[in-house]
Amino acid sequence: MDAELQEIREFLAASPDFAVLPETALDRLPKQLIVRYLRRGSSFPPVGTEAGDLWLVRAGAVDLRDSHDELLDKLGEGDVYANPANGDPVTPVIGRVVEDALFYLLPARDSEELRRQHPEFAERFDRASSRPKEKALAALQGAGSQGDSVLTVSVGELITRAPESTSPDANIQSAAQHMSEQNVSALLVMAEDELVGIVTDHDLRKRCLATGRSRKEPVGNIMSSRLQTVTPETPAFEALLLMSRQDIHHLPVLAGKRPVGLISTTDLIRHQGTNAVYLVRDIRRCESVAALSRVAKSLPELQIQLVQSGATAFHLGQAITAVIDALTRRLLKLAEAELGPPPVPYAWLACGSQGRREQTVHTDQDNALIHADSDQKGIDAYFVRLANFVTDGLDRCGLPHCPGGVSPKNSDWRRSVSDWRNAFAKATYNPDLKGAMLAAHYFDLRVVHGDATLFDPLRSEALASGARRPFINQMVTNALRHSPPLGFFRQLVLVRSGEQADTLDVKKQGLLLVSSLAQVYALLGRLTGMHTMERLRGAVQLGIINRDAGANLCDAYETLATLRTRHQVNQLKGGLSPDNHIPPKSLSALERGHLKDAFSVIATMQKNLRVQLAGTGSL
Amino acid sequence: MIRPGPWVFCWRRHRLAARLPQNPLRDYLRHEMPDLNGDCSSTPFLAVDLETTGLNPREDQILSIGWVAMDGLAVRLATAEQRWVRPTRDIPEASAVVHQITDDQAARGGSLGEALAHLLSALAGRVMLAHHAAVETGFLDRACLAEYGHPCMIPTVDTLKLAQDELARRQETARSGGLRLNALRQQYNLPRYRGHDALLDALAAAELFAAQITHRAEGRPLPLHRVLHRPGPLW
Repeated sequence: MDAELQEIREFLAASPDFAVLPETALDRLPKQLIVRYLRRGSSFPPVGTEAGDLWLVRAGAVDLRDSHDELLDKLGEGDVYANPANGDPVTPVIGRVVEDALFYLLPARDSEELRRQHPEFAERFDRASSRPKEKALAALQGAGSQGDSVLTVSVGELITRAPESTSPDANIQSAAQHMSEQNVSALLVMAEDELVGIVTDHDLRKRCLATGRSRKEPVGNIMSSRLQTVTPETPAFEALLLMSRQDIHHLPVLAGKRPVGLISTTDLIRHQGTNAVYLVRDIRRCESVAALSRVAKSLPELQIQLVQSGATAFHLGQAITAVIDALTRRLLKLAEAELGPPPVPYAWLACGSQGRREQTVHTDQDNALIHADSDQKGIDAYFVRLANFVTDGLDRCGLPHCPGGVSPKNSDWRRSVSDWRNAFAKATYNPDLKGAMLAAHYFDLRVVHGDATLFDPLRSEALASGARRPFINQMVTNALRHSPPLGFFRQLVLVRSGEQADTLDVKKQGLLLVSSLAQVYALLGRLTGMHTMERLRGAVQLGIINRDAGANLCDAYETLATLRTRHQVNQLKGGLSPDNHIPPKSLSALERGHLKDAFSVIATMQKNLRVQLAGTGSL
Repeated sequence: MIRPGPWVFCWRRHRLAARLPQNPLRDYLRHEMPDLNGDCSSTPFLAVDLETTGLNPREDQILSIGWVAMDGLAVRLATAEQRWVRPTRDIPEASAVVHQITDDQAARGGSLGEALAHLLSALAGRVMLAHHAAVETGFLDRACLAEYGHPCMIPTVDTLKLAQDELARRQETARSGGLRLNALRQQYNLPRYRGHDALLDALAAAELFAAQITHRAEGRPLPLHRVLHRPGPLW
């Protein structure tokens, strides 16, 4: 009869390091363990321990410090210490038991065998390696997703029939007849083998029936010819966003030049999903701030729905930002209607997470304004009124004013083109930390509404001139101002000083650290992308960071962002207002493990950057 | 220094081994006892727990035996075993509730002789360790008497007695329930096990022993005879 050590097996299965093992391996494991007790004050690992031994803390606590007595980590229940195996690069670690402790020791011989048989287990203790941990991330994201949704399929998978088409010379009457025979709401207009336009129900109504145009006229006269198209490989979600942003309802799908399908918003919405499109449409129809604030109330609902249907943090950020952009545009239009047309061309800019398209429902305003140079009087007064109207409107829609004053109400963030050019120059040519902090904001500015040609050249100029050594040094210093936590100790977040906090500020202690790194890489590579993930991928392509490091940072970012959105969804469902403060006790052991990995990836990349900065060579 | 008790104990074990016919008890007794002057942290132990239908060895029966070996203070889970014994009478309801061993389960167990033979072979050359060891020694003596005609003479340490000694040294008295296994484990920051069976209780006693000795020895050698429950100084 085999002895049952079920309780020990359960404990192993709850440890993130051992949880990666298959059931059968976990079943065998308890019988390979040795139980050891060490009293407070003992040095750890104890004398006689072998290279390759694994120590799992069952109870008690151990401090690990480096040779300068700086805290590296604190182990509590469920944490594992791996004795460096022969051949591992050894950083001297000095451990001390700080609370009477009981350990499960997996002897080197068994632990090495286990590592040989299960690479995913070995990886967890493989210090030399910086292999990406995608699988872990997939597992994390997989939880809570519900199979294939608009978020995971590509456009090609949504095509149900070949597109119907007509020629531009066909008359409107016959085109309409064709549409009703085939029961479609849009036709592609093909000249020879080339797509030249699209004609929809909407076009028939608006450009023919409503205007009294003759039905004998050619379709070419009423078709839309400035076409947005997608390929079968385009993620359905991107198509959805494109339609929301452009306010269009049909997208031709092209394989090369050949049309292979036509998808509509209905197709996407039918394929379960999302009311981002509806929300954007409703926003466009609002005629007052009061109406907008009512529509904006469903923003939390959108986040819940997206997360539950398996949206990645990337998708969520794109969707929420699309809605908030639409809200901003609508408010600007209402403001222009009330205040009269702008005296000179201007553009409304988004900054921070909105600029990078990384928003969640817990966000505040980060905006700026740029207007054309002019000597005309009263220009500034107009834009002050505009800024007040829009920012107050956003505030009523649940997006509070920026506590840091990043707002076009503030003259620092409301400037003419030449003023902005000076501001950029000042921030980038006068390299102090304050300048770098401002510049970090500037590089995340994106045009939401208005004349993009006012701002975009400034950005390119700044990117081109920004990559000067003293400025980059300041940007690096700015990016390294904060370190990620060391990890968790029981129900607390453990930070470098050895202090412990009740909650993890997942934004300040995680996401922003990655974003700042990405910003430095973007500057080095003069990358035009804005999203942190885009910048990281760009940095990999240009060889600024290596492929594995890039993949690890992307995973770290996604892990942090995924846990944040899930935390917020739980708060929303519980009737609480969402925030960025995750209490460690709400995290599973596995999630803590992933977070700890994410922190260590960030810390490594920060260290690399610091070393490069200290070195005399170029970055 | 060896006091008379252990010396008499050893002599009787030898004499009994010489007299017995070939059986598991004789095989067990023919193994040398660990050195009584040896350091606890290098002595082989076997933590044992019995589950019984009651506390009286004359009337009650053994339901299961769990054990795990310790080499010094390191508990080797590879040696963990549990044997169930098919009782000759129905299990009283009260004890079935405590142990959660039902008649059906018990019926799948082996005979007392089989379980005893396995335990004795695991005990060879080791000191038995139990919490409130009088139960274990009482029932095992009784079982050996029934199976082999003689009580077994197993050197034993008792974690309950060690806890009492510790209190006496500090001139304190035990609080009510304070000497229970779980209460003592808590004092040493040992985890609380949710389950309750002979093996888990044997493991719980083994860990408690490791903690007691680690604290008492304070890094210095602690001779085995200082912690022995049986044979006592004047056995």
